[in-house]
Order: sequence, then C-alpha cells, then structure tokens
Amino acid sequence: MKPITYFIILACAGLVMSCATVPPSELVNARQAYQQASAGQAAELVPAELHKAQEALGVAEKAFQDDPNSFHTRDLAYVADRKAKMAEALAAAAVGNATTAKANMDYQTAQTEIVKNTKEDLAASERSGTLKSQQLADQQKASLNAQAQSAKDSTDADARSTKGLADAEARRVKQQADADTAALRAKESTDAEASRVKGLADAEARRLAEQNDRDNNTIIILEKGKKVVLNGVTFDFNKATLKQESESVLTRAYNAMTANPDVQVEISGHTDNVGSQEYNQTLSLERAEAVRNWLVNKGIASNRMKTVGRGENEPVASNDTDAGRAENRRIEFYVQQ
Amino acid sequence: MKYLNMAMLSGSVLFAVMVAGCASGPAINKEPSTSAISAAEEAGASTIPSASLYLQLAKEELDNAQRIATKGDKEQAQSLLLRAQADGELAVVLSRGDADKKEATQAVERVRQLRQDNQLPLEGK
Repeated sequence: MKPITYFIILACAGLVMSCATVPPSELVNARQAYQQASAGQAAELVPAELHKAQEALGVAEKAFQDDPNSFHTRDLAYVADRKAKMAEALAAAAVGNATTAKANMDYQTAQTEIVKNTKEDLAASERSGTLKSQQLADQQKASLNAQAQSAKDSTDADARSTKGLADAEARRVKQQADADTAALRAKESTDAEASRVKGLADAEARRLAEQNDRDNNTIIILEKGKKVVLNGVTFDFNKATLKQESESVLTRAYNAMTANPDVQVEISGHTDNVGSQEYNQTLSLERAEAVRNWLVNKGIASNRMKTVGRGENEPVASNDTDAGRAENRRIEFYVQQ
Repeated sequence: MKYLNMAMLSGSVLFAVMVAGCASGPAINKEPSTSAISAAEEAGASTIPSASLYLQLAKEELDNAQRIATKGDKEQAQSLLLRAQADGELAVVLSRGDADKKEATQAVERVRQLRQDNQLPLEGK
C-alpha cells in the first residue's frame, strides 16, 4: 500500500473522529455563557440560578456524550445557554435591586438629615430669635436705664442746681444778714461812736461854753510890764481874718482897754513853725494888725496900740503836736511901761 | 337487527378513534412555553429591546414546535418547546431586570435631586 493511501485513510479517520467530537454551536455558546455568568456576580448574588444553569449545562454535556448530533442535545444546550444568561440577568437585577434598596436607604438618610438640619435650623432660628429678642430686650432695658439715668441725672442736676441756687440764696441771705448784722453792728458802733463823739463834743462844747462863760466873765487885767495872752482869738487858715468866736475875748480886751485908758499895749502875733519863717513873720504881723483894727473899730485909739509880728520865734509850746502848735498860734498883749 | 347495526356502528367509531389515537401518539405539552411567553408579554418584553428578541424567538419556536408536531414529529416538537420556554423565561427575567434597573436609576436620581434641592453633600462625594 502506498503512503498516500495511508494518509488518505488517516485523514478520513480523523475527519470522522472530528465530526463525532465537535460540539454543536448551542453547546459551545452554553459553555461560554456559563463561563461568563460564573465569572460575574451571579455566583455571589444568585447562586441558586447559577446552579440551575450548571445543572442544565451538565444535562446538555451528558446528552452530547450520549448522542452528540441529536436535536435534543442541541435543544438541551440551548436551554443551558439561556439558563446561564438568565442567571447573569438575575444577578444584574439583584444589583439593580440592591442599588434601589441602597438608594431608598440613602433617600431616607437624606430625609432624616434634612429633618435634622431643619430642626437645627429651626432651633438655631429660635435661638437667634431668642438671642435677638434678648438683645432687643437688653437694648430696650439699656435704653430705659439710660433714660432713667438721664432723668435721674437731670433731676439730680436740677436738684443740684436748685440746691446750688438755694445754697447761693442762703449764702446771699446769710451774707445779707451778715452784712445787715455787720451794718447794724457798724451802725451801732457808729452810733455808739457818734454817740461817744457827740458826748465828747457835747462835753467839749459844755466845757468851751463853760470856758467861754468863764472867759466872758474873766476880766483881763492889764498890768504894766506884763504879757497877757488873748486866749480864744482865732483866725481863718493861712489868713489874718478873725473868726466870729474871737469876738468874746476881743470884747473883754476892749473892756480892759476902756477900763485902763492910760495903758498902751504892744499887740504881738505868733505862729507855729509850719511854713517859711518869712511867711510866718508876715502872717503874725497881719494878724496882730487885725486885732488892733478890730479894737480901733470899737473905739480904742490906734495910738495906744503898737503891732509887731514875732513869727515862729517865740513858741510857748512844742510844735511837734497839734495842741502845742495851736498854743503857739496866739495874740499877746504886752502892757508897756 | 336494528340494535345489531347500532352496536356495529359504535364499535366501528370507537375503533376508528383508537386507531387515530394510536397513529398521532401523545399530544405535546405547550403549557410551560405558552405560560412563559404570556408572562414575558405581561412584563412588557415586547417594548424592551433586550427582552423583545427572546420573546420573538420563543414565539417562533412555539410556532415551529406546533408545525413539527402537526407533521407528526412530536418528540422533536416537544424538545423544541424547551427552547421556547427557556427564551420566554429569559424574556421575563430581562424585562423585570430592565424594570429593576430603571427603578434603581430613578431611585439614585431621586436621592441626588433630594440632596441637591436641600444643599446636602452628594453621596460618595
């Protein structure tokens, strides 16, 4: 037998064997479908359905072994393929259901969260409202307190002002009273002083009156070689004009001159030391002449009287005191021999 | 004579029926297939692209099985009805899976919308 003959025989045998073992497309698809389903989520989510697919595939495989080319084998493989696809579809549905369940749970969670947030917002709003109400109340309270304080301050200020006015009025009244009292005391003092001065003046007046009475009643005695001071002869200041009160003593001098017609007198004028000596010399002479003129006018012969000015040269008292200077300002009669 | 004729007629009819029954064999069981197809139609498989194909296959397989059965090959017809049942049941599962998938999508969208409307952080973000 030729080699080509062996090859043909082997090829025909292989072809026959291959035709006998080649599974139908339905079985190939079933295997692939089961492989895909078992590799997916079916084993975890729908194991019972996957098991049914496995059993269906097992039945198909057995049928394939028993009768590879029968239509029943292909139909069983077709059913196994659909069982595998069904398991995969049920797994996908389980995923969808799980997703739905999870979404529903998320929805409830979100709703719970929303309710919680709403409650928190409401509580926050209430707290805010309460806080604002409290703040408003505090502000109103502060405002009222401020108004009350302002009113109190105003009242206090008014009271202080009133008190100040009252105090000022009281002080003024007191000062017035004090002034009145002082014035009264001063008046009393003045009155007392006036009374005292008046008393003194009255006493002096009485004394002068008495003195005048004594002087009027006193007879001027003209003795030759002696000096007589005409007490009571006074002049205006810095003048040689006789004052009215000088007439009393001048009258007594006139009486004395009349009573002694033979007597000649020297009338001398004297001053204190105020002013210049020349001025005092002239003034003393003029005053002596004023006395002589008064007597001449009364009728005494002018030749019986000689006038002389002594100025401040013959003081009879100290010029350091008013009394002394008053005593030095005088008119003297000197009865000549 | 009359009763004899009647008895002969009845016997003839009965025989004919028995002969006819023996000639066609046992009837095919289409109930699982038709139930699966009805369930698929009720699930809306005809409007669902992924399920409508299997519903169509189930109907065609049922028709083929009936035609084959009519021709007398009831064994092949019954075997073919297994395909029709399997495709009908798969159409039901796919229809329900599609509804479940739509429901899941709607549920997720509803949550997303709720969170967005209420300014809540989105899930997983």
